Amino acid sequence: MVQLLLERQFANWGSKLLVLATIGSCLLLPGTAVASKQKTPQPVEVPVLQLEGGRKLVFERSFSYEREAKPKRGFWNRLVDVIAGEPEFHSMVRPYAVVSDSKGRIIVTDPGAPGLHIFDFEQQKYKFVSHPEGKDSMRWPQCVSVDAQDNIYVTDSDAGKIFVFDGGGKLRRVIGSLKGGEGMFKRPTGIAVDSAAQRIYVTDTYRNQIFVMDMQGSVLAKFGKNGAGNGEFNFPTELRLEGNELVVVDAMNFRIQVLGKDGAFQYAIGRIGEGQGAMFRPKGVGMDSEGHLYVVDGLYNIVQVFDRQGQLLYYFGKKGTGFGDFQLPAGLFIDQKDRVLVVDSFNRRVQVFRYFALPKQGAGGGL
Amino acid sequence: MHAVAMIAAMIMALSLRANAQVTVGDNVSMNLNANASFGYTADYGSTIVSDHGLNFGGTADLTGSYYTPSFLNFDVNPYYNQSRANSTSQAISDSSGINTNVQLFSGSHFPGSVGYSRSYNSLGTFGVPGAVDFTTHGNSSGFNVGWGVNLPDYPDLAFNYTQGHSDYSIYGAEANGNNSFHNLNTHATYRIAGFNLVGGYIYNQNHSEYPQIVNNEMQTSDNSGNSFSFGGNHDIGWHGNAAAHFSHSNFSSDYLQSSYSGAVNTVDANVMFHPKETLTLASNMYYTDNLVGTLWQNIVTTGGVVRQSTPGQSSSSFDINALAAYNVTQHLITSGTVDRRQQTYFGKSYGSNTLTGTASYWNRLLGGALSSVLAVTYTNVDSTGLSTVGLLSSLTYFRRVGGWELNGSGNYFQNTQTMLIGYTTSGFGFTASAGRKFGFLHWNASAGGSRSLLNKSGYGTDTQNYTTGLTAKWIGISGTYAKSDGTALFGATGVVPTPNPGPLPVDIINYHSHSYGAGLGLNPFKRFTASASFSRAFSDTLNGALGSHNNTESAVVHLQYQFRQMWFTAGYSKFVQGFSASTSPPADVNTYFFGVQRWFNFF
Repeated sequence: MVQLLLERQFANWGSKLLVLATIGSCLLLPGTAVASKQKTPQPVEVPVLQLEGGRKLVFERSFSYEREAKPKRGFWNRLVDVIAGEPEFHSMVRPYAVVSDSKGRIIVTDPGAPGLHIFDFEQQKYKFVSHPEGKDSMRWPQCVSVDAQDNIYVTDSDAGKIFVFDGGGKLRRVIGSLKGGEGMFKRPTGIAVDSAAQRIYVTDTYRNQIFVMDMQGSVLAKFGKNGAGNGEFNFPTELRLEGNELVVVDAMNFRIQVLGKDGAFQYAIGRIGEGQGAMFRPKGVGMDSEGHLYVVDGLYNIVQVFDRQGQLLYYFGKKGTGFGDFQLPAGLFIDQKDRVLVVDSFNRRVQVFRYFALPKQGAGGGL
Repeated sequence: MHAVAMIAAMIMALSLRANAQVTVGDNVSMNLNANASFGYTADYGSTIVSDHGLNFGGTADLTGSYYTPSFLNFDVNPYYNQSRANSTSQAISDSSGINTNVQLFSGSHFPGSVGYSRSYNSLGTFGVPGAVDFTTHGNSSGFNVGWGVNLPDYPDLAFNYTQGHSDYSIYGAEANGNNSFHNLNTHATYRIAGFNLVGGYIYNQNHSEYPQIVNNEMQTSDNSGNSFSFGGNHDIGWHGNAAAHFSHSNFSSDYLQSSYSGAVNTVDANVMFHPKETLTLASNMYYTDNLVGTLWQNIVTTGGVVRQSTPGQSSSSFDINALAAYNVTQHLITSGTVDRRQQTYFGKSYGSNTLTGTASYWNRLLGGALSSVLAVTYTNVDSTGLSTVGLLSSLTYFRRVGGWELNGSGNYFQNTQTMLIGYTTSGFGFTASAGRKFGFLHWNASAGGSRSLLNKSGYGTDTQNYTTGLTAKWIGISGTYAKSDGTALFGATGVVPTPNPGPLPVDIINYHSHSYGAGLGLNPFKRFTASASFSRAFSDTLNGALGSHNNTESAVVHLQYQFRQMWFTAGYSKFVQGFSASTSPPADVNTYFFGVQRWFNFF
């Protein structure tokens, strides 16, 4: 009954998004030409998805390039802009994964750049981090995680290594770099850092294994093997550490497996197929403060939300370019404030939603 | 006053950014970007009036479409006072002009296009084989229109018409030239009952006046011709294909008060099939009823001219051969060819039988990659009874040894028959290159050369070239040397080597040239580049009794710094070019330039 109610609400919300997308496209976006007979700009109506018991999911914003993080330009800057042209702002090319650190900065991997975009909306700063030269060049930054000191850990699925940057974007070390410059991993993708236990967890997609390492990169344990049974994988990709549980996207088994830190199987959700609750291209994964599991489906252009029993609670998104629409969504991250960050890869942006759970209803603060 | 107007224009150009966003209608979408430059330039030299002053230039690029890009799209690119050839520092000459192109219905069954271009005072080249080309400047214009019909179940048709005109003069010589042409090309293809049918009609007309640079007289040539052709092919059994083709062409030429005209009919047919995956069998037949006309067409297509009218005797050529090729292993292919040729030209008949055996081999060898071809031919000429053995071979090898990347290739051919029975050619060629990284430095070097000799007539060419370069993180240097000797033909675009001059009377130019150059590029910090280059070339041309010693020399220094969409540039260039056969003194042009450029993306 609850589920039906939620689905009906979603249908209404979907049509509302369509209207909003139309309004949004009429408004001037940066870089677009001015229409000849422009209507007076209307206030943007923020999409809200009302959920059971007063919970709600609110669209907050989307962002795609450096300028959106920078402060409003003053008179002299604008004068220089007129004379010399605007500076070259970085923008997302093919964003894949996202995470936020303790300061609220949002870090986005971009294999197309290739590098990391660090957006600090609070301090109105932006930084692009890359490491293009040398035998340890970063070629395909895939997934990202941060530790308690806000050091940034990035898997390079092409180089087979893990790059560790400090909070300022300076390269500190490279994990998995062998003597000849080759990478130790076959295809490292998902990564999670357990600062308390001083452990790094990495999925090696081609090996169908999860590596457990200390902070210097020494391998302490490996678990998993190819298969479809419990604790077995068929091309595992994204990985999140939620409390004491490892949440693993078991991509070609079309499911999410939840394991203990020692690799012990806890439970799994998802199945292949069409229709609600099925997964075809599971990508990013995350868990909100109420333990609901969010799973991005790159093919269906939606984010599905499950409870711990694997019941689909609701989903949001559809194919498109408007607010709340996705095209090839990939990474997902949920921060301490229940902000849901979704990488909308083909639309070259990150969309930010906020989940208001029952106990925290009304908690303020935006980006 | 003039400078004030320039400055005002520049300020207006800079302020355009705020007002240039134009209204875009419902069906028209357009993008416009432009580049405006403003600076100080000074030049002096032997053939120009020394001057200095403020200079304004710019380019624009307007692209867009009406309704959809598939319905109509256009590209308009005007430019003013911008050097299009050497560098943006307006090293030798400023040029102005416009290029336009419109494409219609490109997504439909009737795609079309129209293009127009015009340029003033633009740079061009006049070539000598193996040397740095001589620099020219002049005006040109061109127009083309094309249309196609691509209806399902009907023949695909394509029509294309082009016309153009150019006139130019060569720096350092009282030598002017011009060229104008008209071309019409129609083409049709049709697939029916498994047959792929093709047909076409071509008309061309060309008028050239040649610069008096290696000849002691003003020369004019007029060539025109038309041809139609048709043919087809059809798949046959054993994964084979059979094809036949016929063409008829008429041509006429006026050169040095002599005229030559004629017609050529050619027929060729071939059949090929694969009875097994590893076995190929084929046979080819070729016939032309005017072998001399075919030779004439080859020379004119290359860019040369035929000096006098040729004797009126009939000529013909018939060639038939059979080939069998067998893949012995994955790395070895062998083939054998039997060929019979029968030719008549300049009142004599010739016949020859040729047997050829070929082996091709490629494999990994000693840690590298090797590929090689060896062919041996045995030819017997009927009229003389002489037998010759010919050889054709080539070898290529690549290997990494430690940090070295080594690459080498060579080829040798002897007594290889040309288009005419009785004319054979021999020669060899080689290339070699090496590269290695030394820490942050990367060094590479290459050498190449070739020598060919047409046995009967003594025509031949000899070339050598050497290059080396060294690059580090933000600096790169390079050096080149080239040397060339040989015989060639005189054409509208320079002195052009012709592979097989044959017995036709042509203006044979003996040439000798050598050139060297060096370059330096720097990128010491972000958005700043500096480059310097120097080149010098000497050539001697001998046409009958008229000889000329020619030289060209160029030095360019260019500095550029980018700040957002502005480029601050400074440059110096020195250019010298002269010809001893000319009564004019060598051209010597020196230019200083510094200025600023601004790029605009209007909409």
